[in-house]
Amino acid sequence: MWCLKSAARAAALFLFLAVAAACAGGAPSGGPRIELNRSGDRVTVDVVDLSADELRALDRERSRDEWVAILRVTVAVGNEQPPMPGSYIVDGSRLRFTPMFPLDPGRSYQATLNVPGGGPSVQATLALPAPDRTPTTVVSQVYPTSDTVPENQLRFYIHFSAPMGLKGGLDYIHLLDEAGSEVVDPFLPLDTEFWNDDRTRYTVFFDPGRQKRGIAPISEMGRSLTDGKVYTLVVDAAWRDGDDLPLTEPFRRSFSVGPPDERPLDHTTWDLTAPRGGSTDPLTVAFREPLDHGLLRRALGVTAPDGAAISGDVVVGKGEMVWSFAPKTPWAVGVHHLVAFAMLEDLAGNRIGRAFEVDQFDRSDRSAEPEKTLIPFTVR
Amino acid sequence: MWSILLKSAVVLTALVSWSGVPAAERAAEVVATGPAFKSIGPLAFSPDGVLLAGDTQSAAIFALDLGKAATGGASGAKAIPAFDQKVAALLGTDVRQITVTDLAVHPTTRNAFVSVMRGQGNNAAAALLRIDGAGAIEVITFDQMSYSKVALPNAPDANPNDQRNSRTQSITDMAFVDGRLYVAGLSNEEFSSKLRSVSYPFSTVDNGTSVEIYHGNHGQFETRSPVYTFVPYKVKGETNLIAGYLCTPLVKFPIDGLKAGAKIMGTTIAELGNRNRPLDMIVYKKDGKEFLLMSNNSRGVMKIPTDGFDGAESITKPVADKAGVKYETITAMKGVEQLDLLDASRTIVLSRTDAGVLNLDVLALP
Repeated sequence: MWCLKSAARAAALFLFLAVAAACAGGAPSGGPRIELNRSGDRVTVDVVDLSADELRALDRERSRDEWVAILRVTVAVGNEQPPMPGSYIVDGSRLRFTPMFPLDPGRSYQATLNVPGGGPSVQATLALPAPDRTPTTVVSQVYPTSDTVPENQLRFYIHFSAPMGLKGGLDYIHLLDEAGSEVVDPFLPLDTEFWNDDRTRYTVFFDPGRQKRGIAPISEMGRSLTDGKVYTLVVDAAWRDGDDLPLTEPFRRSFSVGPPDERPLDHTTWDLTAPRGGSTDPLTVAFREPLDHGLLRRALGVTAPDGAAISGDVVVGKGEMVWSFAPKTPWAVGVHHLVAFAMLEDLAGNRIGRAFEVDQFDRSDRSAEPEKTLIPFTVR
Repeated sequence: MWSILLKSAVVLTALVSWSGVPAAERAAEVVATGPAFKSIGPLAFSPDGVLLAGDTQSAAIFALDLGKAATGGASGAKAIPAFDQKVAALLGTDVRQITVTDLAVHPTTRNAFVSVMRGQGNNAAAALLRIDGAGAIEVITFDQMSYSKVALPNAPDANPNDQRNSRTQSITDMAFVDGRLYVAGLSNEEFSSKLRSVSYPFSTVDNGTSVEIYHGNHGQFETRSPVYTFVPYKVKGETNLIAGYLCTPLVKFPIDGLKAGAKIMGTTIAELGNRNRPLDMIVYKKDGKEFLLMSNNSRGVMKIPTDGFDGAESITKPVADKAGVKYETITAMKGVEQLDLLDASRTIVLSRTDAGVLNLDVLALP
């Protein structure tokens, strides 16, 4: 009866690699076995084929140290590894260890069982199957997309086709000059990484200390970018994605560098094309220079004649020089406003009314930045 | 006394004004059990032992009631060689999957608490470890732990109901000062410098203050440069934040001036050298004198007497390399990435060897 039950139970479970080897001359035939159980949300280490006496002996409150003395689960590397934390429970005819952290696929774990008053020690080496190791993630886009950037370019956004892993960033991003030599330390080193919510977009800032005029790092190292030169941004394939796999291939993009842009944004140069009343045609705004792609997505909006913000779909056009906005509901007739929040920046970090560089005390601006700029347009 | 309870490491920075968002939406405190972290670190203790843990990925701060987990039995903390390898084994993985994010010492048990991310991929999980005076490493369980939580407000979106806002707000450092938690953060989009604060128990995170400096080494007035590390320190009875920037100006900001929505100009009291990134700071007292101990990525650990902070002239002109208050390089301390005061005479540090191994060391204060 007991054997039949055990057999049925075993058949109902996913068993992966479970190499049980008896110590000290081998476990008695039909003795307890250790296996992986993947039937629940969390893979557990289960001891099965326990006798009724063994189950009775196990089924009581114990301290963690006492449980570890009975069933010790460690990584299977070297000697004397510490026991992994987790919870122990006698569940029906099984002793179950649920690790605090999920077992890593492909990693070997060692489990050692010593049932109080039971037979000899039982050991098992357990492993979940290694995952599919075929890389699939690529760099899907890098902003800015323009062929030319200013010498004091402030940032790149690197977009990926799938979520990336936690480690990453500057070790995998390189800036090469025309000779193929790597520009030394062009980017701002920070202890934190700049990802969007789903880790598909990584922001890399140029070191502003090397972008500004006349400062010591420039005289020592040269500016990161030089007007008139061509550079190549390289993203290594070794950068790991969320499945711990490399990218399918490295990414390279070459771009030219133009003069530094040290002027504030001038919204009076923007060309607005107003839509027709009653339509859902987009409002389009053309800029004289590329603006920051990330900020264009949220720093511009539209308000109705009554001042209420309008919901709509934003499209950032070619070279980040065009922004269009199609409302969810048809345009009313009247004077609307394009709203530019203060955080809107061009490629060099210049904002409306405030250049990125302010290098003298008497030119510094202590007043609060304007929260928003309103630019009227009429829907007829 | 308060200064030893406070530690810091990192970047103060940037945020835009986000007025227009109703106050009630800016922050929501939750009191519950079983905090769910997306990520963990940096850490800071309140004077009464509440552990404030930043979740940079979800731009929130958890206040954890450690309860019995505050003590491992043996007070203090013990050095552990190859700390990262031992932690990796304890968490059931290998060292490549481990990222140690911060270190903080409990104000009364003096046990060390270390925040760790286990895993590098989609299944990465937050872990909190306690190291006691016997060298035992314990993984603290979050399941039944009481906590409260406050969210950092995100910047506004000019387009209502936009589902594709990619802006996030990293938390890079925190320090607890006179009942308020000061929070440094950095946006992944706009580039500017601001420091926020919130009272504890949590209320609403304020709008933040823009902090600006004159960088003598750069010969520049820097309006938005990120601060890398900061620590509270009293100068003539007035509480200041002492902040370290890249390349490496040391700047003091009076806390009274950090008013929400304001801009404040820091006093640059030292230039500590080019091509250098400050990592962490503590303040300590030895032989009746106070010192700032600052770890750096390329210029080692600096011991800076604080008695010059009061009368230090503000650096307002370009300097070639170093200027202002002087420092001594502590050559015996190498590769220090995180540090905190363990007790009145010792510091506990996480330091990386040339071979890349991370050790937990306990050292006499220099």
